[in-house]
Amino acid sequence: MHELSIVSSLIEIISKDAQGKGLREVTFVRLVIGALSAASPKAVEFALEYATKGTILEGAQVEIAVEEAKSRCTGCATLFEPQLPFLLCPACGKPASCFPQGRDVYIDYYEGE
Amino acid sequence: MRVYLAKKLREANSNNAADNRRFLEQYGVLMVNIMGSPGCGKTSLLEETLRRLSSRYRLAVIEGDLYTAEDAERLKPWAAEIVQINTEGGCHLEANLIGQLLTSDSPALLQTEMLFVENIGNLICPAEFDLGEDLRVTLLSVTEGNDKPRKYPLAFKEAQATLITKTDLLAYVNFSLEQAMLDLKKLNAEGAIFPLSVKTGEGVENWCHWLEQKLAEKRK
Ligand SMILES: Nc1nc2c(ncn2[C@@H]2O[C@H](COP(=O)(O)OP(=O)(O)OP(=O)(O)O)[C@@H](O)[C@H]2O)c(=O)[nH]1
Ligand SMILES: [Mg+2]
Ligand SMILES: [Zn+2]
Repeated sequence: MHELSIVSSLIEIISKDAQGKGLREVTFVRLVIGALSAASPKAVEFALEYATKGTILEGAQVEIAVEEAKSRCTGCATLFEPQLPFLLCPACGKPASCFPQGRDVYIDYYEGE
Repeated sequence: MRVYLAKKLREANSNNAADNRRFLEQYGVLMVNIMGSPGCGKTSLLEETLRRLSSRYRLAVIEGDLYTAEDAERLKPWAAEIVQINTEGGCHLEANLIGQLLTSDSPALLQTEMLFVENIGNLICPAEFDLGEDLRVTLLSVTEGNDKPRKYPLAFKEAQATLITKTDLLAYVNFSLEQAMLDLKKLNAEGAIFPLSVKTGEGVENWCHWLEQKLAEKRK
């Protein structure tokens, strides 16, 4: 359940940024969860509902997008979408080790007033 | 108004991990992050490892545990320094918790040669949080079944070593060592694999030797 720690940093980052910009309320957040980030969108949603209570994000609508993973093969430079469980390069069979996309959870943007 | 952040939520942790790595580098301490399911044998492995290495090296342990200090007690006889972190329900350790210990007034943990961190028993979350370790080690006990690397690939994929533990029980459980090794190699071609049992001592020597080698490389 590290989703709770993900949600705490989301609240911390957005609160700080919104306060810095003089916003009183955050109304919308777009969050992107990588397919290989080991975070569950359902659990994030659930944690958000509770953790935002009493913060500048209370009541904000949160859109969660799941982003497919991409890997660049360190052997033959093929760009591919790695498949669980082995995440092998389809061209040369080497296990993926570099993920330009899909390994992270990040805030795309938020809206506030 | 709309504000684009494109901000990674684990960025703070990555930054803290990088700080930890710098401290460890400066003091020449080898940090080893031990991960694996509840009961896979992390504390038992540390007991045996410390027992074997403590006459030749100064060893420290950070014990991550949900609530209790029992595991730390078990390791006291062999560790030069030992610190307990209770996460109170938190399912993994984060780099800032380790950082607080490394940067305190008396960084006794840094006056050592190897620093072992026993992470929280869990095969998913700890793998997502870099602590600044030199070596990431994942345990897989034969009683868990050899499908675990396929089910939790990320825990094994980025490990410098996988330890297949409790091999003395192989005769009693349905675990194919051969299949597990094949899967692990496929997931992680460069990672070392050490089958071992702390009950019989079989294989423990190879693991300890590997650690000593890694320390020597770091201190060179
Ligand atoms: N037969 C056998 N039992 C073992 C071996 N290693 C550990 N055990 C047993 O496995 C059980 C759990 O071991 P621990 O070392 O406490 O496991 P752990 O991973 O530290 O557990 P948590 O910290 O609770 O996640 C204990 O009863 C140990 O005696 C082994 O090599 N052989
Ligand atoms: Mg333990
Ligand atoms: Zn390839």
